[in-house]
Amino acid sequence: MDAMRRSLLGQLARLSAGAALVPLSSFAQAGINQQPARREGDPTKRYGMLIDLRQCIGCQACTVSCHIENAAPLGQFRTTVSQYEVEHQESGELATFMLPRLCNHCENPPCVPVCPVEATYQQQDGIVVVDSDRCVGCAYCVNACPYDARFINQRTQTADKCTFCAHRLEAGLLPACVESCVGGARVIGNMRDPQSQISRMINEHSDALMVLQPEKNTLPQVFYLGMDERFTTRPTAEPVALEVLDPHGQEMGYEFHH
Amino acid sequence: MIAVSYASLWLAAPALVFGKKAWLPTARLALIACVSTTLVAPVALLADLHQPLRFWHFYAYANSHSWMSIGSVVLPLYLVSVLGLAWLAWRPALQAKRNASGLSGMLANWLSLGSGATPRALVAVVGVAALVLSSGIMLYTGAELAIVKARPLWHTVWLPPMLVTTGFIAAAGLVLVLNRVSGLGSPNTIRQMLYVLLVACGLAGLVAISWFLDGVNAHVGSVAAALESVRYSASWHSTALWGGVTGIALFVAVVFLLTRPTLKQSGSNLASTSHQPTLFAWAWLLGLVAIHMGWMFRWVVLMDVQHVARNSAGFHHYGIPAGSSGMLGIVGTFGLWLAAILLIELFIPWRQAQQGGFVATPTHASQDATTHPLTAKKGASSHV
Amino acid sequence: MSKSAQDPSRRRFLKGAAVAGGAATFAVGYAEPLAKMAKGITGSAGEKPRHNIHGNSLTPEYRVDLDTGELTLTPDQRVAFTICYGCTTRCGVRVRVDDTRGEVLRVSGNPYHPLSADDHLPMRTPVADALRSVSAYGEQGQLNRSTACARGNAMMSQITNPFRVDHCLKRVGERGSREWQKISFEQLIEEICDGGDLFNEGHVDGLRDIRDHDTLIDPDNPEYGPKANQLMVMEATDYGRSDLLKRFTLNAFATRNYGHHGAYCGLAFRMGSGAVMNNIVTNAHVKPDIQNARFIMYIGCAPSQAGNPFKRQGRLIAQARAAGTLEYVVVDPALNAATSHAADNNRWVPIRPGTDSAFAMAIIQWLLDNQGYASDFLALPGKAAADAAGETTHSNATHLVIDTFEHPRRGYFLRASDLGLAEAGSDADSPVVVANGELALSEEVMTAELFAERAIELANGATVTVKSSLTLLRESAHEYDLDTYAEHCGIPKATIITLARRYASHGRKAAVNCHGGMMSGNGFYAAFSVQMLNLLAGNYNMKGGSAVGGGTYSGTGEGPRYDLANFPGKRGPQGVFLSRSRFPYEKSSEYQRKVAAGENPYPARAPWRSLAPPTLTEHLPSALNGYPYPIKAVIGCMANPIYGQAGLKGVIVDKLKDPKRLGLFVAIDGFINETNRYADYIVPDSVMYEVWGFTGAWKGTLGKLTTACWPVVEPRQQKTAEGEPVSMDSFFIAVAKRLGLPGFGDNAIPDTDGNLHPLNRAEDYYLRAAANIAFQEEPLPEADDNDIAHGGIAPLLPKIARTLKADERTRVAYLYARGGRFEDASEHFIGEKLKYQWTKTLCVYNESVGTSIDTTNGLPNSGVPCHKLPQLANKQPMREVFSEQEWPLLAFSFKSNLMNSYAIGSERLRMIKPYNPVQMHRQDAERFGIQHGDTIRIESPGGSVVGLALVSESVMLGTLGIEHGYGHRDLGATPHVIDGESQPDMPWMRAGININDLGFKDPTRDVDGTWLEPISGASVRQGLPVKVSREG
Ligand SMILES: Nc1nc2c(c(=O)[nH]1)N[C@H]1C(S)=C(S)[C@@H](COP(=O)(O)OP(=O)(O)OC[C@H]3O[C@@H](n4cnc5c(=O)[nH]c(N)nc54)[C@H](O)[C@@H]3O)O[C@H]1N2
Ligand SMILES: Nc1nc2c(c(=O)[nH]1)N[C@H]1C(S)=C(S)[C@@H](COP(=O)(O)OP(=O)(O)OC[C@H]3O[C@@H](n4cnc5c(=O)[nH]c(N)nc54)[C@H](O)[C@@H]3O)O[C@H]1N2
Ligand code: SF4
Ligand code: SF4
Ligand code: SF4
Ligand code: SF4
Ligand code: SF4
Ligand SMILES: [Mo]
Repeated sequence: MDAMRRSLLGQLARLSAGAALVPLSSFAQAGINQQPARREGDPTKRYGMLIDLRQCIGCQACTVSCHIENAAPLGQFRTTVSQYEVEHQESGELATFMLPRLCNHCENPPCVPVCPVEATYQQQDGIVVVDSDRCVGCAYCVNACPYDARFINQRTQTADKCTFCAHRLEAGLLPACVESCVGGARVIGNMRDPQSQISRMINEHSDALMVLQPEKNTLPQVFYLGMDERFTTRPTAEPVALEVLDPHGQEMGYEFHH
Repeated sequence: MIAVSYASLWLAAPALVFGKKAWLPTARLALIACVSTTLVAPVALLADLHQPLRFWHFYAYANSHSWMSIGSVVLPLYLVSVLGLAWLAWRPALQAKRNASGLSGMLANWLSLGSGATPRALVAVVGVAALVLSSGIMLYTGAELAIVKARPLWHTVWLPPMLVTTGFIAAAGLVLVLNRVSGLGSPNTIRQMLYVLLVACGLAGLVAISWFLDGVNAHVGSVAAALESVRYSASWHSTALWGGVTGIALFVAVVFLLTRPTLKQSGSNLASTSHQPTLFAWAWLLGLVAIHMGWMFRWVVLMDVQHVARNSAGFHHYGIPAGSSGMLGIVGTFGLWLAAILLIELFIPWRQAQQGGFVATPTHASQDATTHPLTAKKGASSHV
Repeated sequence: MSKSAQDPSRRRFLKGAAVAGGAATFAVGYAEPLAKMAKGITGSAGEKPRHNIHGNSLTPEYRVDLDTGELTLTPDQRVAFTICYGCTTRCGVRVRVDDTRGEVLRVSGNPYHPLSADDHLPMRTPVADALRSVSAYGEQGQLNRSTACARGNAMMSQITNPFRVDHCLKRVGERGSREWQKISFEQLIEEICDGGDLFNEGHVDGLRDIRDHDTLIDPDNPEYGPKANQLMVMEATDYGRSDLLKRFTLNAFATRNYGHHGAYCGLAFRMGSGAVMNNIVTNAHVKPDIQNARFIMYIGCAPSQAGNPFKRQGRLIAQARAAGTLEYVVVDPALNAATSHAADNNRWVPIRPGTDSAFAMAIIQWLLDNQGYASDFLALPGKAAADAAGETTHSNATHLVIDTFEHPRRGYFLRASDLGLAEAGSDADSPVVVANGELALSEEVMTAELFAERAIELANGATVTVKSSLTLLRESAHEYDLDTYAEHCGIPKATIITLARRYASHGRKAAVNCHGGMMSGNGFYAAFSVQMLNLLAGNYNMKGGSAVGGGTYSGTGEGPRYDLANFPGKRGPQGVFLSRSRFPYEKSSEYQRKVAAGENPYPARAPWRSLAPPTLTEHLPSALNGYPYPIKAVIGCMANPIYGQAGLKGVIVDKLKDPKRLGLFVAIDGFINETNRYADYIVPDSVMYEVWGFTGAWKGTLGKLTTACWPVVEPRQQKTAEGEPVSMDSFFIAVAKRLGLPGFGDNAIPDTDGNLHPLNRAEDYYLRAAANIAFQEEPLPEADDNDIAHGGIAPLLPKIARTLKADERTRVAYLYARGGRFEDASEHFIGEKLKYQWTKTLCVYNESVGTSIDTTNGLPNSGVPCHKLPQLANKQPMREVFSEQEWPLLAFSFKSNLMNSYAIGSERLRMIKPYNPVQMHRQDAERFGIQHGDTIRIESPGGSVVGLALVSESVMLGTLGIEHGYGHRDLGATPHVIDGESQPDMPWMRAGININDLGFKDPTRDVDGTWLEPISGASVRQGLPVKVSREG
């Protein structure tokens, strides 16, 4: 990336992140490809997550605990943590950068209006869910999410995604990934409550917070602290080749498809 | 498939709806192309659903916010209109065949529903309705993709016209191929289709160029982002390159064929094959290339791109999975289409089809095809 | 459909066939959607999840009302506290159990446990409150978390692992042929104890024959001890049951030869550390107090990538990063998860493997030349001075060392007795220092000269040169100049100086930490020099400095309720260890014979390491080579040296297979691994969450703690005739009883009143140990019903009731309901000092090291840290034997943050990282014509493997980084045949490579052995010479 582009994107990232904090009231719009009215869920709450990347150690405890808690099929994930090597612009020194990702429970979720059967919808508490009894498995929402946050669950044949562990929140417990975050990076909470940890942190760090792909105007509600703005969009990086080889150097393919 | 369906409908329209005699052979071919793909496309779309038997949810829980939901309403209407049109077009021939022996006669007897005349106006009305509905299909299939912000390559106003033009390319190609394999070998059709190809390729080229220019000029433009997103995918590059190259090659070949002097000199009797430039015999090959083009475009832009991870470097594990969601699914769709077209060949005297004119005996329309009130849609894929 | 002259009916047939063909293709192509449709008729084409919104997510273990905090347990689920076996960190975890199916649902951290929790809860917290504390109530659970790492979460799959051994196995065919038959536990015990012609290969001595304490192994070398030493028992490490294993091994059977993985884990580090801490016997070590430190250099250990304690270290460093309280560098050949781009207070400094002594000695040189050390602290000559200065400890920096080479007391401290001021060895015989220009006794002055050197006359009239320890260190540090050090280690001189300056600038809140990176060819001195930096900073026992940690509540000693250390008939082992360690060669008969014969006694046939503890790295190869003596039986428990020790496979496998070299090999394990596949018998063992035991924290926690585990789910393996699960415990109990050994069976455990209690079942031992722990210091309170319900220990109560005395039961329940005993967090500091302190004199100069002899050349070892490049056993530089021309790269390994050495069976971990590509520097890749993603062959003097190149700048130039934990050949990677039935073939389990397959036989040794670090005998796994080429 040349310097010009980077700074432009940087500004964008910051601006939209700031903007994303404002609309705590749910908005519905009529018309094609606009948000249907929210339903169900606790209207007094608006859940969001803040991930302090400085505290993420890339341990993948979140990935595995979410996988177990939510019985995801092998090879399919509601949350992932990518690890990057980043070179410092001036010094040329290298460091690692960990980027945990999950559904952003966007304020303006592009995945919702596209659903032909309204199987996926946003609750009044901001959580975007899928009704697996209604979902026809068309995968339109999977394609409409800019964050790769959704997948068609191999076992249920319906769209699947992070629910902020709504079943645990309802029980007064924490989401699996938050509960087991070894570095203490993930913070979930009700952003309508000014006293919640997430509200306090958002206040404290509002200038530094960023969201992913702000230019898409999805208004993500997963905020990142310690973010390098180059990572808010798809980073320019050389992916690690992960062909699995057997002891003789023969490609083995993948054990878990997807 | 659905694009071939609506495009071939438009290719059939000059003769079928507007009564242009010169287009009659083309219309015959285009109509079977249209009917067969119209029958198969919904099956393919349905099969793309991971919950095919829940198709009724489309109607039970229709969602006016969703283009796909809108499509699910348009599609069956379109299907009915196409089948209605085809029935009207074929009915005279069917009626003529009623007394044939064996299964096909029985079928003709049954399908033709009496011996009443088929009013010309009815054909035109149904035809226009079908054309209108097909525009709905073009609109929704295009819009459905173009609103997807998540995919820079889709999220552009240039995609829908591109889908339409490449649809025409493929449809024209298909007609060319059918023209050859059916033995019809109409030189008019060849020439007409070559012109269609010429125009469609030209338009597609223009759309592609404006798309590209639009993209590179905007800093978050779809092309730039799209190119960025597939930077490291060698396979995407090679398929995209292949698509582009075949497109250009096709265009050049069409121009070459159409400008063969023999064409101009062959003179009065256009109906005679022997007076055609010899190269015209090979036009069906161009047809194959055109189909391939239309297919490639969709593959590259709609399917392949789904392997690109949208928010991290890298790609979803590559490789078309074997099984229904992948290669076998494609082969299966083709098989079904082949079966449909062979069935038409077997039982429908489409070669004799005019465009109505006999006395109609209007009764309820019962077509075996309505057993597929199918409404699923593309853009859905399981290998994401 | 082409026009043809064919008969129309035929055409029609062809078309018909084509239609059918088309439809059939469709049917095949659409098989899946069709099948889905068929299923869809019932409502869903897939599996219908339990809930339409929550899918198949687990039912919450309990519910907490967010307004009132009221907690409701979920029927049929239970939360129990126990130990994670996911790695040697051995965290305390909370395990969710589904009682209806006896299955573990998910695992998280125990909030009472310092290794899992941010701030661990006070012990007195009711368990219900503890459960509430990890909930969303008041956001407690995220303000103060208690976690399990990815492995800790995933490893519950060990319980249901398809490769788990659940039955006693006896080999069929030759050793290692991977064929087994199932036998009963009773038959197994009988055959092992009584021997016989067990395999139709001739007579095998049973344990009964071997346990002979009256006959010497070798009358010519009586120091080798009795024949009982010909049983060797090895284990990985203490996962909580070691004390029982040692009770059998050392005190009931009483063989000398017990070994654990230490020598291929981190022994070079531990000994270097022990050298500074004056504890070369148990090799004490320290960890930085991350929360209060201001500057840390991690040199060859990677917090958040691995490390003991993995989680706690990772979490603390993450918090410090966010809080901005700490600046740290990671000196490592590879970039790893320890450095984070998200914060700017940390930095990766690439180093060439095996050269840490150059780096550390360079820093030492700079610190000494620039007054960058804690001079006031180092000037304290003794305890009296330290007390007066309010210090917790002191060092021997000022102590004078006799440095006249020819003098018999060379290398010893100059002591009062040398000057005739005290009786040698008496309390008053303290070291001598120079104070105010005069010789003085260290305990009698308050400060002494740091850099002293002079010639003095001893009481016996001899004149010797003496130098203060710090002078010796300075001399050693100046052996090379900074440029040479920089060139050796590959870190620019400017960087070294910057780091030294930063280090010095943070005074006593600067610290260093090292571990696995020290497993190199000069590892002992590397670690000694690195740890010396802690001493120069004077940071021991300081808040923000180096912490020795709180230790454990031991239940297996002479406890307040039972004496588990002693029993009637207890014996102690005698004789020389197989590894010839901790025994001066000069006292051996071999040495005496050679001297008597007028021969040069050096080199010894193979290294004798008087400083080293018994090392498993030498045990097996030496025993199989018969030097010092052959053995007859091996019992291995949960150990896998062939996978874990570089080069061992090539050195021992052929011999291990030979029943003449080893008569009996019994393995106790949950799995068949690369080592125990050669066993004669396998005893199925409990796996994690099914075991009993007690563990501590290695280091890195400031308080005292003991973690307890108990079978929170029923063990799934075979049962004994008495109905107990077959396990390590039941095996040793049964063997001991059959052989009639003391300490087991009825009347084995004395209580404080002198009554004897039985040891017939595992719980007889562990529950009594629990009672000892509960009654230590101030006894634990009594558990109430709520604790019992919330702590999920209902299934344990009947065992407690039938084993313990009435007054012990509720207190023991209190302990298990909380997963152990943990000192409260508030007690960790006393002012600026840590509560738990190391008070032994810290060593700038280590006298035992400085007076030890290198048995390969008869020369004394250096008592102060020094720099050398890696050497082979005969002290030849490795690069002289394996030249850079031929082997241009140095391979090293690092632990996976996900995997461990036995986690490959976990599909959830494989799903995240299925394989370990090899890290290679871009310039090296160019040099060898390799591109990112290429398949490459890596060859070493000992082997060759094929891997995939991951090319980047994230690894030191000239090196090859290999993540550890992959490249398995067993543990499921190759199917075994049991009772004629093959295990599943899972190719994924053999994915990737193991750097240890590149280890090699040290060519300069006479008695076969792998490349070992000279002083410690630690396995060298860092800096193996290799070459690479593109494959195919
Ligand atoms: N995730 C995970 N955690 C674990 C374990 C596990 O298997 N997996 N195992 C546990 C055990 S048993 C132990 S002993 C600890 C060990 O924990 P660590 O000591 O932290 O881990 P290692 O990977 O052995 O080595 C540390 C680092 O040394 C680097 N290194 C290699 N050669 C050199 C060298 O010559 N010089 C320097 N300076 N560095 C070098 C490696 O790249 C590696 O990053 O971890 C424990 N924690
Ligand atoms: N190249 C390289 N080599 C290394 C290291 C490295 O970083 N790089 N690390 C080194 C270090 S630090 C260490 S500590 C050693 C570790 O090496 P070891 O301590 O020898 O062995 P492990 O492989 O940890 O495994 C012990 C065995 O226990 C068994 N087991 C696992 N879980 C259970 C269970 O729940 N119950 C029972 N009964 N058995 C079980 C399995 O068979 C397993 O193989 O490896 C060392 N080797
Ligand atoms: S992240 Fe994706 S799935 Fe989640 S709400 Fe936003 S668009 Fe929808
Ligand atoms: S996959 Fe399911 S949730 Fe997603 S758009 Fe289709 S029907 Fe809606
Ligand atoms: S909130 Fe729950 S579902 Fe979402 S990523 Fe975390 S653990 Fe997974
Ligand atoms: S659990 Fe926390 S620290 Fe670990 S990878 Fe996930 S977000 Fe990062
Ligand atoms: S660090 Fe992880 S794997 Fe190791 S003991 Fe702790 S929770 Fe288990
Ligand atoms: Mo270890």
